[in-house]
Amino acid sequence: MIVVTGASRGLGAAVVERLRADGEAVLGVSRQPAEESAGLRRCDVSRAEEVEALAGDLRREKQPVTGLVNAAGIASMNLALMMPTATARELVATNLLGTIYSCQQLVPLMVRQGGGAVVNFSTIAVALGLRGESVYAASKAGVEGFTRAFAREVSGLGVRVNCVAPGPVATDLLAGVPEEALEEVIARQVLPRAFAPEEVADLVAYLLSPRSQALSGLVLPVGGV
Amino acid sequence: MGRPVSAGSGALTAEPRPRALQLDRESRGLQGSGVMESDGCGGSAARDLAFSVVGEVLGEFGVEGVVTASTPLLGADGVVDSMGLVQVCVALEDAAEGAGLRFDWTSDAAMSRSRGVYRTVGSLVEEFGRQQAQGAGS
Repeated sequence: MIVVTGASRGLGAAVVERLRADGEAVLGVSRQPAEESAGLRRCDVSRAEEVEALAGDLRREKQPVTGLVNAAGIASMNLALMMPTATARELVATNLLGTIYSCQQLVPLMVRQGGGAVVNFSTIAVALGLRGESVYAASKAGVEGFTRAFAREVSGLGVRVNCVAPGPVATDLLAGVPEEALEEVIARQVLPRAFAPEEVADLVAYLLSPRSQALSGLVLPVGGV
Repeated sequence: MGRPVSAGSGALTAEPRPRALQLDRESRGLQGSGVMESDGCGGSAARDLAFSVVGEVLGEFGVEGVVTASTPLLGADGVVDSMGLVQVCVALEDAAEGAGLRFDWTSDAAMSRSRGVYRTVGSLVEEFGRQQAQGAGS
């Protein structure tokens, strides 16, 4: 089973769709699922106790977790000087701590299976240092640093950890971002075009699969920087 | 892929290795409450369970000789590396859950060789027993 956080929309939803199309058993996790079902459960990854409870349920149900996609994330485009402290805290809690909590609680389930793969999500804003995204980029830079070090910590346990860093992708996260700002970012990519959620999901599926067994500890910017 | 760990039994499911390992409970007082107190290991069933599980996993890792409470886990003289320690903890968590208990293996001092709960078999067994005595279990 592959656990995907942030599964109800955006890139997380695209990843769930792609993995299910590949025949994978997927458990989607969302802070606000439309409805809970066998394939979708409620969990706010920014709350450690909720992630711990999710992992406990999966452990007791003896669910064979072999993959984890940390797609849960929030964005708030704003100058750091103008961002309310509560917003900054929420960004770090969801984007960085949510990724850490999920890895802490769910990777041990992979160890029980003999190994697995984790895919975290960053952003091209880290590499490009985009104006108006300083706090968001900081939270994701933390994810990149965590990915590199955590990959080394668990490599001996058969767990690979990589990170995908997309540029502008047509999801809710970009709502309200001016078109010219998006074009400016795209122009700085090696491949200067916007990418579809399905293209990012392709990369995630690859990083989860045995075809990428030689890769761990990497941050892969979609579109290139 | 690493070696799979079975859920529930606390035992690694990798092919068993020849067991040259001995668990020396009595010399460390892991079965008698009086001696236990002097060793700081306690004498509860939870501690016995932990000691058995740790010994079982160390055996699977090919640790030979006699394992006592003073056997170092981590460090230069340690019998496992940090990856092995994770496997020990996973097995303890499974064993605790199988007994209706809970084992929280997070610790700020986990890697400390002087005060960490993972410095020796005894300190880990003691921590496991302490948690159960304090009702950390579910």
